[in-house]
Amino acid sequence: MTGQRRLVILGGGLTGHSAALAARHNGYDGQITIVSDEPDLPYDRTPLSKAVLQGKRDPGELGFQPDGDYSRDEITILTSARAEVVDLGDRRVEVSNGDTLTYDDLLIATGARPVRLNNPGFDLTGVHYLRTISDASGIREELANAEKVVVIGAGFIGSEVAASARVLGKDVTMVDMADAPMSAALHPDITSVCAAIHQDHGVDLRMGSRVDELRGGARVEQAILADGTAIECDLVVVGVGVQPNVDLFLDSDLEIDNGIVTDEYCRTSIPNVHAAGDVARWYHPELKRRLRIEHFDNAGSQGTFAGKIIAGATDERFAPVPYFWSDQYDTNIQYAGFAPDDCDVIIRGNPDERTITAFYLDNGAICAAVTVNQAREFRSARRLVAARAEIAPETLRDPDTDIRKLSREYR
Amino acid sequence: MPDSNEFIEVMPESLVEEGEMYPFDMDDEQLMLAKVDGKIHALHGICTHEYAELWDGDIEDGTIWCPLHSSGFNVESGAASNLPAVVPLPVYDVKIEDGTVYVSRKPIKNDPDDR
Repeated sequence: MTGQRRLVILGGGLTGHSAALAARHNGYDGQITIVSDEPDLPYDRTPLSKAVLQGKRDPGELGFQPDGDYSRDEITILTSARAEVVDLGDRRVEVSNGDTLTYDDLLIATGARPVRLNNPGFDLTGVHYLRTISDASGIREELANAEKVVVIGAGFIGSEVAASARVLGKDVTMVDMADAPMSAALHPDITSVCAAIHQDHGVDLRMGSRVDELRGGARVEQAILADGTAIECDLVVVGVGVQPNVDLFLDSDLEIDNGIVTDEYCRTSIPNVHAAGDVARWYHPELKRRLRIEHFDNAGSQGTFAGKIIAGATDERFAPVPYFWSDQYDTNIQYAGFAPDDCDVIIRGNPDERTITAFYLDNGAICAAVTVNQAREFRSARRLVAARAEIAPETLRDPDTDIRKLSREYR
Repeated sequence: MPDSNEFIEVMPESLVEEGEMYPFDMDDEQLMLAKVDGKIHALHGICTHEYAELWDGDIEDGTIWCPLHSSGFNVESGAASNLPAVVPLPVYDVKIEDGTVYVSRKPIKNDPDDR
């Protein structure tokens, strides 16, 4: 390490990890310090709702750096350390451990946190949210003795927690205002299959409903729905979305609008201050709109991109094909692309067998694709999305069409 | 213990197509051949992240992409080049004799026994 510059990264999640490594590996030769409020080194959150809750993976084995050694890249990670004050004028960060860090470059990768519900009874023992290893360990511990689980919210976290609890043999009721699970992410022709999969596995789905109140004594005992129905429970997990961690900057000059606003180079409204990952709302230069994405793939790839930008190693723009996956029971769901609201959706496969590949068409061009238990077609479908291929709907729908072969000419 | 000098016969070279992957079993492990830019590679066939059969994935620009979560592995080195995988894929030696592909019984890179 020979350079005099100092990079401070706020947030020790996937984005911070990826950015630090990318900056270092792309020529940033000054100090790199990550400030993380978690006790653990950067780790993969995605198994928390699945393999960790089911007891199939040890939370201690989720680190992105398998041997935990960041020193060979000369990256300092302050764990259990919260940035308490960030002075964007003086370029200075005051950390809860008493350190004051000065910087030349700042990356805001503070991520997001679960939205908390304040309805009556949500402060009872047995009510959980899921974001961190500590959250997952707490749920796992109580799941061992729980019999009836209520899951509030049927998005990614809710759906995966419901599946894990069913795998463990618990009674599960999942409640959401939407018509079907995963409705914020997927088209109704696909979410109906998601609903059927939960019902196949014995989840009591209460869609179009909400929990107004939790009741109990020493711990939670009942969830009260809007229509007055009482559902017995001894464990509640709430997964109703996340909000970006922007609190440190609310009084600053940074432009904030549902996240920290950046351009296609991760640059915020203040020079030498970048933002990436769940907290950043950036301009996608090909989709020509601002996006804030809360998925693993974006957290990693935007972190890597930001690291390269800060190292001065790229003049490209950040314009990925958005991607996410979810695993529920033995079902794998994957999505690539971005679908405007008024797309036509072509379904191939067999919804009755819970296997589909769906293509979203934007004025005839494939703009997004989803596979449900059709992973074999996913990478090919993704390639058609990246190429915005124009393929006749009847060809896409035809079971005799080999999507893998079809996609080859777009390699 | 098999050593890296020991090879087993896998399939005729003429059947291995560019950009394709071919699973085969060896010593209770699932391996695969992958042909990229005219060269045949042999790698472990199961993703190091979670159980997934990599031959159902894709090869693009020298990267093997997992079908389930889009982990990426360099076809030459086995290195994990795209998350969520962080552990590299074992790579085996390949030799071609008389039009037949042979693969070493022991990995030449990223042997899990060495970790």
